[in-house]
Parts: sequence; structure tokens; C-alpha cells
Amino acid sequence: MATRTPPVTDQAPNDTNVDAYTPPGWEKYIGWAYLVGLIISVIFLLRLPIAADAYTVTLTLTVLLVITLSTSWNWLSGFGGYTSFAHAGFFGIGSYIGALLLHYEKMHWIPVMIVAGIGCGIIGFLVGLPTLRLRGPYFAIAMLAFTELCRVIALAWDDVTLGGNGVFLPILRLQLPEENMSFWEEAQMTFHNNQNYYAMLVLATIACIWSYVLGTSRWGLKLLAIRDDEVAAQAMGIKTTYVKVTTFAGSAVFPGIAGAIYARHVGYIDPVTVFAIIWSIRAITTSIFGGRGTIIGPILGAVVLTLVSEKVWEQDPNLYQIVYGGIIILVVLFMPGGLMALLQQRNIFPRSRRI
Amino acid sequence: MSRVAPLATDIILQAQNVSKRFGGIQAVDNASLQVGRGKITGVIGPNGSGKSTMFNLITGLEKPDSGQIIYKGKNIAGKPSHIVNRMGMGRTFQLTRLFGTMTVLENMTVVTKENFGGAEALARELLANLGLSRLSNEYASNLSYGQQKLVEFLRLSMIESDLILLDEPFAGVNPVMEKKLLEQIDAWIIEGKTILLTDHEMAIMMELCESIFVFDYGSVIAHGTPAEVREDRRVMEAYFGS
Repeated sequence: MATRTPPVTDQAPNDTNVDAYTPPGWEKYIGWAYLVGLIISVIFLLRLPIAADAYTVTLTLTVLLVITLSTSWNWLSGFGGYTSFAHAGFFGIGSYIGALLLHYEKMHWIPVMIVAGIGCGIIGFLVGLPTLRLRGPYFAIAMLAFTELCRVIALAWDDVTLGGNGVFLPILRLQLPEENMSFWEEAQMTFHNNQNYYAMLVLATIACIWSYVLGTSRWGLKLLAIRDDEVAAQAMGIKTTYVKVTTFAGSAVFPGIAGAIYARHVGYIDPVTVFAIIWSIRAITTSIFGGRGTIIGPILGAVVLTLVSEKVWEQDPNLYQIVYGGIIILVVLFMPGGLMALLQQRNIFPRSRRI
Repeated sequence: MSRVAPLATDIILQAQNVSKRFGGIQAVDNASLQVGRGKITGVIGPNGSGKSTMFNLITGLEKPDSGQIIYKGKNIAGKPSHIVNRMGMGRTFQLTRLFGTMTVLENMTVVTKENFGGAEALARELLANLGLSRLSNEYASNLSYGQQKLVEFLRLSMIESDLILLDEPFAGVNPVMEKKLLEQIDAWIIEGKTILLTDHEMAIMMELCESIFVFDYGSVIAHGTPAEVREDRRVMEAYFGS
């Protein structure tokens, strides 16, 4: 190809020549590296409840929950550039769908999770259709209002949601270890006793895989185009509304299921806790910390920020808030692209959509 | 309103009595123009005379208050711009509008139709033809202004377009780059495409265009061949106030 290149004639005075960027050769193997990393992590995390204590399992569950929230938030808000505060709303809706179905013992818990996810997907579609015509801060404000509206509905519609009393979920009866258990029996017992943990592990794994598929796809490219210049994207034939609304609906499924698993994990929910804006904030801060618009940024951010804030919280619950807020301010001021952008600027990671 | 004489050629685009008001400003006022298939048609006029608004109305970025825009026999007035684009109308912008955080290659492949498999090969070939291969993986925002203009032109070659609208393509471009842009316009005409362009470079416009429409205060005040337009008294007034 280079052989056919005519003599370079674009070196005219006002034409500063940039050093053309070429990604390193190993860039195309990043996907395989992720796959190996994912398999190792999943094997490790599958075994974790056998080896570790209940506190570690719960902490890991929280990390997986935040990974799910931040990764799914990143699809529309990182790749697509539409900052959304709706994740708390979908988290709450998912919690309520899950909690109520389990409370009234309508069906087995696994289909309940799927119903919660699909329900949030449909609501996301219906909410996105009018609101995604708004741009920038207006969309963000609309999504704040959406979360607040959900909370008020959950509070006021007490015939269905049981209102401010909250919803109690059936208690999971733990199996106790017996003597002479076979490996298979023991595995079954571990799974039974930690089923919410395993459900969250499955959900987070799917979210991470989907993030890679989306991030490297043509669809992801369209989202980037919308983020960079929506008018130009539309003028060049990209169906921007369709792309945005579908992505929004898809990204609503994950906080929905996560909310349902969370409700089952904690055993009791009420409107104030599950529709708390902190769920959106967590998704946003971890994504920004790791690097919004990248594939591993939100995952990395979720792991680091959740573990750091947990350690600080152990020391002092008040200090925790200050440290957490301080980290966010420092990140926004000094590395607005997050950890990943910093590593890319230092040429430690290549500029690649696989990152 | 000036009476638009039917041209002897096949008409691909016809705007009829189009108006658009923004608040207190009548940006386009009962303007009509025709674009002959396979020709280069020019739109000139002082700054703020409604040229860009007219382009936005034609490409669906703005909805006209009244009037019809007939493209390939269909009224497209008010249709969303992605639909207009998929009907075969491409455009560039007055200030280049590339996708800054995407690579040059991605800028070009993202706009193609869904089922177009050879997008990347075509993009690489187009870049190679203009000696820009080495920029394939560079972020578009890192390019010089002239290079961005070229890439925006090449991006247009990625879609199946019959009519191409160029909004001030030569503004702020050095002579070498200008030559490249002109070559690309020639190539499009040879491929059978139609060009509608606006620019302030009168010398280029007079040489390039077969017919010219002159805008002032949102209205078409004159139209005809470059020679006719040059002699028109109203055009002189609009430009020089004499």
C-alpha cells in the first residue's frame, strides 16, 4: 500500500505534520489476554466462598455489583457521552420487581432475576425515547428526576410496593456441613449458601464480556461518533436516536438484575435505600476514575475504588466520605480521562479501542 | 422573488420557495434553487446571507417553515438528516466536523452502510491515493486543519452519494491542499456525482461552477452562469454596496 503512495505533497507551510501513530504489534492480542485474565479471575472467584470468610465474600459481591453498575453505565455515558443518573432508578426498579415477586412467592428466584432485567430494559426504552432527545446537562437532569420519580412512586403506590414499610424477602435457609460429604455435595452446599454471590459473578462476567463486544464493534464506533459530534454523525447517515435509545435500554437491564440480586442478598429493601442517588454516583465515579469510554477502565475503577473505600471506611466512616470525595476531585482535576487515559498518554497502553 | 427559469438539464434537487426564521431573523426568505444532475452548482453571497442555513435545510438538519425541497422527485423537507443522507446526499461542514477521538480510519468506516463489507479496504485505498496512509491510526483531532478537510472529503467517498454539498471547502486551506480538494471534486464529477457548493473564493467559484445562485438577506437575488452573475448589478450591490 505504501508503495503506491505518491510523493508527499501535504507539507505546505500551515500543515504541521503530526507524528503518525501506529499501535504496537501486540495490540491485536489484547482480546486474548483479556480472555485468559477473565478465565483465571472467574476460577479464582468461583472457589472464593470455599476458602474465604463471609465478610470477604460479601465484599467481593459488592465489588462485582459495582463492576456491573459502572460497566453498564459506561456504554451510553462513556462511549456515547450521555452522562446518565438513571442507574439508581433502574437499580431500584430491579430491586422492587425482584423483591415483590419473591415476597409474594410468584416464581423461582432465577426467572425473577430475568424478569427484573427485562422489565428495566423495557422501562429504559420507554424513558429513553423522549429523554434522549435532550442533550448534555438536560439529559442528566432528566435522569436525576427519573430516579426521584421512581422513589416517590415506590413510596406512594403502597398497594403494590408496600410503600415506606419496605419489602421483606424470604430468608435463605443455609445448609450446614455434614460429615463425610462428597466433593460434589460440598460444592452444591457452597453454591446454595452463596447463590447471590454466584448470581452477581455471572452478571458481572456477562457485563464485562458484553463491554468488550460492544466496545470493539461497529455499534461502539457509532456511539463514539455520537459522543464526538452528534450532528455530523446524523448528517453522515447514523441513526443516532435509535443507537442511543437501544443502548440505554440495554444498559438498563444490568442495574435491574443487579438490584434484584442485591435485594435478595440484603433481605429487606425500602424506597430510600434502593433509589438512593449513591448507586448512580458509584457507577459514575468508578467509571471516571478508571477511564470512561474504555473497556477496562470501569472494571479497574470499580475494583480499586470499592476496595480503597472499604479499607478507609473500616478506619473511620466519616473519613471515608472525605477521602472518596477527595479522590474524585483529584481525578477530575488532574486526570480527567481516568487511569486508562493516563496510562495511554504515558505509552504504557496503546491507543486502542480494545483497551 | 426571482423567477427560476427551467434549466435544460435533468434536475436532481429543487428547492421551491423555502423559508426559515430563527427568532427575529429571517435566515432564508422564499428562496428557490435548482441543481442539475452531474453538474457543479454554486451558491455565493455575503456572510450571513443564508447559505449555510439553506444547506442545513436541504440536508435535514433544520426543518423549513415553508416551501418544498424536491430531491430525486421526493419532497424531503423536514426529513431527518440520516434519512436524507441514506437517500444519497452527503455533505461537509463549514468548520470540519470529524469525530475527534476516533482514528482517521474509524472516521471513514463508521459512516458506511451496515452490510458494506469492504469498508476498511476502501478507506485504506482512498487514504493511500492521497498519501495519507500513515495517518490511518491517528486521532482525527490531531490532524492539521487541511488534513481534516481532506479526511472529511474522503469520508464522503465512503457513502453512496449522488449529490454532495460542500460548505466553504476552501476556507482556510493552503494552495497545495486546495489543489487536492479540487482534484477530488473533479473525481466526483467524473464518477457522475452532482456537487452543490458555497465558498467565498470567487475565482474558484467562477471557474468551477456551471451555474451560480446569489444569496443576500436570505433571498436568491440572482442566478445564472458565472458570466451572467458577474455582470449582474444586484450582485455588485450586495458585495460592494455600490
